[in-house]
Amino acid sequence: MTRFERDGDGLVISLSAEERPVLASLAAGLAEMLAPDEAAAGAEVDPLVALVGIGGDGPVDRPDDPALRRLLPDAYDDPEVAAEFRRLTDGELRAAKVANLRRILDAVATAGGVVRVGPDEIDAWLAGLNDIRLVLGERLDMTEEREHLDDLDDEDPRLPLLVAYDWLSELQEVLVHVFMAD
Amino acid sequence: MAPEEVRRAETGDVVDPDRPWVTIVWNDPVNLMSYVTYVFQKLFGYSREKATQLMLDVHHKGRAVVSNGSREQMEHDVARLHAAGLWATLQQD
Repeated sequence: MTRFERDGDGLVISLSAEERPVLASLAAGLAEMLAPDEAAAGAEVDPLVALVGIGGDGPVDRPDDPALRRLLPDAYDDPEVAAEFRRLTDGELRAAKVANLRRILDAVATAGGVVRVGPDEIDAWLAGLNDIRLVLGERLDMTEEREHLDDLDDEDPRLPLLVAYDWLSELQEVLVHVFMAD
Repeated sequence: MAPEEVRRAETGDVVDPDRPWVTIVWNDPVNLMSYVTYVFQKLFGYSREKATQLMLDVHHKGRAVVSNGSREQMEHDVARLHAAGLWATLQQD
């Protein structure tokens, strides 16, 4: 059970021993989905290259995985224009998302399950948690009504995903409300 | 069809550089209503009231125009919205 405590201009989140590895593996897994080459090479992306968004000169393929397409969507209806926009922005967008997930990973790994999220960290946390929820939502075929997810059997492979989804939704909701401007 | 539409249809693909572009955010079943409101406030500097109204438009109508301006500005807005995890596109209004 996650506990929350206000701390000045931040929020202290205490993750349970069961929750920490769940969040860490989801964040690490998504980081690897977003930067497979980097994970394979075990190398850091050059920050300058990442900042400029140079991912090579050639076109960047639209992802086949619907979850990645949701995280890296087309910016234009016109496929040709969308492809050109993707070619110019894909590297930077992926790098930003991976950086958010790394921030969550580092916090979870080093702080013994007690994480302070302040004004400088909040946007990375919210976006990172949101991206994880988007992937889980895609895997669950999430809908507004989510009737197909009611009363899942204990053996249903979707159940752990749904439990994680609902937990991260609560975590994100609490964080939003603490940091929402009037 | 409105006169403006007729004119546009007649001129085909000719792009009028003065016509502003718009950024559109589309509804999805995952993003929290509170988070969408937060993002609109944070990225665009909108009041809580305006950000909430735009979020409700997205939720109930399936989409909402959240900003308008030059094509370059809208590409910047779309990129920031994608970074935040919102589903956004741009088009000429």
